[in-house]
Amino acid sequence: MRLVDTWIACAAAPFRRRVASDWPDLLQEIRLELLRVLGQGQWRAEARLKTYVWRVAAHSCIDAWRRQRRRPLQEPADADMEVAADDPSPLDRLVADSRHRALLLALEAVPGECRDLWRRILRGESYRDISLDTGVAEGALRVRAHRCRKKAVDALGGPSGAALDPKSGNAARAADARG
Amino acid sequence: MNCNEAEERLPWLLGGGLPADEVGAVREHVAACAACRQALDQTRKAADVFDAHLPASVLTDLAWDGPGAPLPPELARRHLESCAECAEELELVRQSRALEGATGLVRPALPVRARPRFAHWAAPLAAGLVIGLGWGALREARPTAGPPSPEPRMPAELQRLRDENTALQAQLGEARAPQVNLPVLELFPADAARRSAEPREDEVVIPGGARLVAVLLGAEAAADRPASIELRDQGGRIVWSGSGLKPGAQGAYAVAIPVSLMPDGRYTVVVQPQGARAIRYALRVRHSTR
Repeated sequence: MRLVDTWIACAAAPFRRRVASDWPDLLQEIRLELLRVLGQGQWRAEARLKTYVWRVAAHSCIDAWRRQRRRPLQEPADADMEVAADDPSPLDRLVADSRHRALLLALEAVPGECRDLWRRILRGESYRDISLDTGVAEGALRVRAHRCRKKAVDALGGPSGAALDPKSGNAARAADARG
Repeated sequence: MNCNEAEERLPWLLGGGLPADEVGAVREHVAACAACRQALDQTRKAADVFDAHLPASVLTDLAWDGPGAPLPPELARRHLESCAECAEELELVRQSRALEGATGLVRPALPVRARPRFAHWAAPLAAGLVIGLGWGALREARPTAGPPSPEPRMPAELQRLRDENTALQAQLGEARAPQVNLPVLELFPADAARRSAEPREDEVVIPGGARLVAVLLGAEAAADRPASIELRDQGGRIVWSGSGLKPGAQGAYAVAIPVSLMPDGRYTVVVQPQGARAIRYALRVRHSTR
């Protein structure tokens, strides 16, 4: 066990400064994730156990750091929001892969200035902060963000979000062809 | 608040950057307006697009020289070129992978022909690990009896830590010396500066030779609870962070930041008191040669 703990600590070491005070929680989270995937028999000795531990740790570190970056976000409570399953089925994984692909293609289709503005918004910066920083009037910023929203939704195949629908996927294919 | 005003503020409502006095009004309007609820739904879809990143599994696969499945390699490559966050994550995973090679175990080499047999005892080994990990994760740490397990060899990591230690010792030596002519910056929350009659110049000049800069962060209503603090560069990356920050007698937060962390550029200091709204300070740093 000490050996696996050493592996986990070494694998996660490059992320240590990024997660800062969450470091002990991260190590515990990796142990639990390892426990979960090994318990499900996902490791089939195709890779060395050490490499497998390393990849699980790297995966968990990315997830943890992304969660930490999103911490200030305040999504209004939505009872209909889907909760990801702990153990997704092959179909769930296929749908998730298709969704990731559609989102990345849509992101490519929107202008860079929209991506920059929205990334600042999603980092929790207020329109006042952004306005102070960029010198653009607050009202103009809000209108710009609104226009960018429309562009992103259009890139996803319109308000219905056709590209996110695994049954159609036409928009994803169209965007793919553009790319 | 009318529909246009509410709709324009939805991105900031989702991002958490909407001023506290507007959150209630927007939520109230959305609750009563079907069109704005639909707009909120569209805003969530847009937020999903703008917050799209390569899945962690793809980054891990790329770091281990895989194709980045299940995404098309070209799509992953294009995204990495335009997304600083994913590129940084991939770099960290690659650093992690490099450490894997540096932490070999002292153990007898396994004959090559015996390797396929590994699969036969893989399942019992995994079961043992499950039990061991479960036990380890749930119990309190306590000293173990018996002979110590072989220590891993980590020459590259050890060297890195030694170098880091040397650099830290050097910094500590400098910090022990009297800090004369310490530059002191006083910053005010970005939104407070906006309300003032005269726009405040947010550029700060750090004199040459300074190693530390004392920063006083004025707060209109500093909470008495400990706060965390982050210094972010203009790319949004955290270059310095701390926790347990408390306001002084004058109601301002005080921190000392190593100058080496702040090359010329724009920065945002974010103070997040527990259970209270974050306070942001915007500054533009310029280093003087004098």
